[in-house]
Amino acid sequence: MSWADAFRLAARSVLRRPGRAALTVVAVALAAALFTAMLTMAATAQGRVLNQLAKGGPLAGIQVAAAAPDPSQAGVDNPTRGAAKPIDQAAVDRIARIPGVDVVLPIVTAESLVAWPGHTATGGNVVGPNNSGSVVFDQLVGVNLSRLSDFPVTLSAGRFPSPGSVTQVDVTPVLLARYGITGTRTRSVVGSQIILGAPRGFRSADGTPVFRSRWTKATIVGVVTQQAGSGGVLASLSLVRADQRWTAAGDLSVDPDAAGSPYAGLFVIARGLDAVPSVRAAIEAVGYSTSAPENLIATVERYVHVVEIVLTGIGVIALAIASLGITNALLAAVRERRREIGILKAVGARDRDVLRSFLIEAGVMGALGGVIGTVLGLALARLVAAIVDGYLTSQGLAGVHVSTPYQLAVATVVGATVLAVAAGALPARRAARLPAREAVEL
Amino acid sequence: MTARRARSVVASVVLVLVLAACGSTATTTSTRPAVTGPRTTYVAVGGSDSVGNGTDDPLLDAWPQQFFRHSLPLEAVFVNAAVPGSTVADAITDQAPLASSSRATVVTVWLVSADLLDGTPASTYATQLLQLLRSLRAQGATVLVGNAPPLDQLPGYPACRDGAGRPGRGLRCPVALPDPATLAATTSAYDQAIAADAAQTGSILVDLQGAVATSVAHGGAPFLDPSGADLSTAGSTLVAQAFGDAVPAGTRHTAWSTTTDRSATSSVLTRRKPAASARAPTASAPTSTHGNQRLTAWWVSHRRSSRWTPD
Repeated sequence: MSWADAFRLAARSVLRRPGRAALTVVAVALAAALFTAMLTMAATAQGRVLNQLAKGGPLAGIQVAAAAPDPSQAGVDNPTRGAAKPIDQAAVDRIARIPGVDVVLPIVTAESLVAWPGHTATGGNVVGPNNSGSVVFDQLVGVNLSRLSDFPVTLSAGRFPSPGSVTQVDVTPVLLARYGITGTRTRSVVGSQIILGAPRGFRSADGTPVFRSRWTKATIVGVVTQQAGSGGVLASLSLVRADQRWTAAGDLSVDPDAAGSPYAGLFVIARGLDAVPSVRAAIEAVGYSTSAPENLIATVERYVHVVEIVLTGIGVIALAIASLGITNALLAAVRERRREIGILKAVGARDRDVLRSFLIEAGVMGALGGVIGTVLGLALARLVAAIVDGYLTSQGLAGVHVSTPYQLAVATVVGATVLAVAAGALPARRAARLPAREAVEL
Repeated sequence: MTARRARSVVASVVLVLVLAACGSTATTTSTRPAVTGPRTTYVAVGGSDSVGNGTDDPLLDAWPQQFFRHSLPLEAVFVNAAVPGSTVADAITDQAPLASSSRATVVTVWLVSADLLDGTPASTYATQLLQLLRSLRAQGATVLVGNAPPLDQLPGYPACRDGAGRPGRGLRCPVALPDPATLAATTSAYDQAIAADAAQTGSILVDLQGAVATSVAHGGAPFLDPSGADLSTAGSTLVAQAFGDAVPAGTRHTAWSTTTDRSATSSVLTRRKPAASARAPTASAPTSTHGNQRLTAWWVSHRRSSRWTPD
């Protein structure tokens, strides 16, 4: 008997009892769906939690401050910083040469007035009478916008500014809150225009200080939560550096805390989470304070791994139960087809031909159930994620996004098929051992 | 339900599930191009009128700020170099260097009031203005120069004409103003000097004389603030619009004619004229708070202790 004949025989057997076959496939599909959905949701939740811990940046990200390290804080995720210490290009180059460092990304900041005509801010640092007005004092945070995915930045509305743009910015919920804009209303600011004013101090002829601003217009293209630097406006390096230059060229110092540092900080990405401790130690040896949530991430990863093991176990148990259904269905088929099997044997079919036919039948049901279940499971995971995403974004938080776990999908289908074949082995062996005389006796 | 129909229904459901499972989250994209190229740098050279004295919010309502926001492209940069009470002679030493160091590509010059009040002769004014415009034009900047508004036509003028120290109904009259004929003659001489200097240097003349006269004739909203000494917010809008209309097409931002501010300006021109006692001729008021002064005062009071130190 050829493979084609075996397939034909298996298909005929399935189609002869469609109800039983359908129920068997549904059982496998439900188990596969449960398995896929649980693991997809677990992976999504893990990604969300770790992303939250890394503030949207890479897990192996290390923040370097323009400050000396405090020796007593070695190994602490968020240590207190020592005295201010400028980060110059030489320091950047030294850090970039540290073994285990993948990339060093500069962060620049500039003091700036933020004017939003038509909106009124209240509270501290508002330039106006009674701490109320449309102009607030804040900081611009400049990063390489083409590498935003490497920074601890999470987008909650709109999009990121185009790389190199000097007229597009993102703003933070903290800045918007100063204008009384919170929650879902933050989305409405996308497309608005704000005016940014870099201050410069001049000494007038009589010695009194006068401040003038270098004003630029910018369109808000998104709302972000960012930990790259301290400031309410995220912009391109070129925009922030231009403001920095203007302010620094003044007769009066605007921000002595900056200590003349060309960089407000650095974001260093290590080659993997394991390299983070050694890279941090090396950077601190160079003379700068670092912070990274490495200990927290490691702890959370351990707990999440335990959860994954438990969920995988539940899924495997469900698939095993479904496989027992296949065993049961095939045993019933063997009982009903004793005469047919006897006839096959009588006309020359060998034991292995009968065995192959039943294993193919089991495998087909397992594979079909696995495919349907995987698709169902992914759809279910997306549905749950959409509900969670809707809730989070309604709260003004970053949403969740489910990626399609192709490896998991393939593994589920293959696993369901293998389990089904294994479950069909017993009835197949029983069928193969039936003697040809069964056809006559029955 | 036939077996064929059942199969087609099942196939459809499976297809939908496959599509749902394989769908990707849509990302927001923008078709608006990002601006990364060279920028228009605008510097305002002027006196009290240019720093926002008398407006509701000097940092945002000063006419150069309004001109910058509505008449210049999105990528433009703006520095307000104006100093209250500045004459043309002052501006040559105090403001022109800033325009030069900022590599200004567009400069507005509106310096009339202080020279008028100081009694600078028209010939001297013409010479000094020519020097200023030449220095600005030498940098390759597009220069827009405004002429004198019709001071004698402003409703507050009669209240202050009798002389300083006799402010009428709350008005602050900084100096004794000449009689209408003398004032008109002086203003006319200044305007002729401004027009001649603009023509000689290739600068663009902005006819504020005509714009303000039209506004007054149509009973527009007060050009000056209630003190009578400074431009009101509406007056600043009117001046900004006049300068905006004079900007060359290649430099102009088209938003001015379509924004609500244009409507606001129209309403300025058509609103009923308030009582004459609420107005006065334009004049500098060194003691009032303008944008940069407000910023400086705020800075010193809020930032000095921790972050602000003169070096």
